[in-house]
Amino acid sequence: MFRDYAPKGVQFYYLYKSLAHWGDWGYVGPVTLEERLLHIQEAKRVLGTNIDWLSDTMSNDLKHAIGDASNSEYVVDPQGTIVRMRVWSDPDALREDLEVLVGPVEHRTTVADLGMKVEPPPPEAPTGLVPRVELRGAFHPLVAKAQVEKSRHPFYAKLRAAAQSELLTTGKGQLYLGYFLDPIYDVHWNNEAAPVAYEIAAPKAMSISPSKGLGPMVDAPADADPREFLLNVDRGTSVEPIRITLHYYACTDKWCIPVSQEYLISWQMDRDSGTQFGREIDPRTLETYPR
Amino acid sequence: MSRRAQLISAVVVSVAVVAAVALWTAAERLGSAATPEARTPAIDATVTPGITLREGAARRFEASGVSVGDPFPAVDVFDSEGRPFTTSRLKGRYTVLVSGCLT
Repeated sequence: MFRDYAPKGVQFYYLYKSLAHWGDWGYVGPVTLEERLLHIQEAKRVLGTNIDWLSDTMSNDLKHAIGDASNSEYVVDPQGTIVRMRVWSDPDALREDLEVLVGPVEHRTTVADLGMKVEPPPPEAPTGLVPRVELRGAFHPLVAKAQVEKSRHPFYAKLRAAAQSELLTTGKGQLYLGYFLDPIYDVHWNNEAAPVAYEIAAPKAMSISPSKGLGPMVDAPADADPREFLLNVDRGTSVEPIRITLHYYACTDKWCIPVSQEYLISWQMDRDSGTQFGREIDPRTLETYPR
Repeated sequence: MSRRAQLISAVVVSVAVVAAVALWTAAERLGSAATPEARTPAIDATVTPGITLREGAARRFEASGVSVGDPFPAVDVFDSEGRPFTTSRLKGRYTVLVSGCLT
């Protein structure tokens, strides 16, 4: 479409927004604009496209303004008016739109004509060594804000926090914490150093067990499996956020540094966090977003 | 029934109603104090799973307030190099904008 209609004056943009399926192919949500721009570079590499990309803000302002969909599509006329819009991008329908609006092309470029090579995600350290935590019942992703300003290092490990439904509705239930290494940094866990450790600071009225914990000892020098924890929480009367700090070694083949980084977790569903396939309730499948 | 008997009956019924309300209120207070769940503010009372991802996305998309014929929303975003870009610049020729991500 780009090859056919860019010469006819149509401009094309991809809008890069928050991840729809957190963790798929190892990709995890960026916590800074710089990381989101690295995702765009990665998307260009993986998809091999020449189309210009725009980056939404970290608060996903444009995504919210245009309907919150993961893969929506718009055609805007020269006056800036929306003339076509659909919730899921549909190349065949888009081509019909452009044929009506701009005119047909002599030769329709097909995907085969482009000879596109979809590149694989970046290689990573061994995975499949650490059993995944089993989530029973419905879990909902929570707003987890990386305290970027407090760290001298990038967030090599990204936190996924999710609450069991009951924890949100009654105040008692399980809290899932998963730390995933971010492939854009090409780091691994160093299993010859101390295992990852977390600690939680919570209001006195709240009970979290265990509030401190260690990751597993892994029988391999390095790996890239997520470090997951399942905690029992009784919020009591509190709706205050909790602070969680993770201590870990971020390592490549050339360097290895100790890192301590903090997240602030709110008892609020994150409408932009997509879902871990098959493990959580996707916010997009709810009639209304929980407050 | 005599007027005196009617008066006595009315007083008895009134006292019984007041006593019942007082007992019910006290019981409710005691119950809420003894049940932590009842004291916990419900943050999420609107979770209603059961619709598909596509249905949910379509409903939200339709409810966004943006329709064909509207100006494309003017929002400040960034280009792929991190430079400020405003979508109000999407004028002068036809534009196709598709949202997406790595996953």
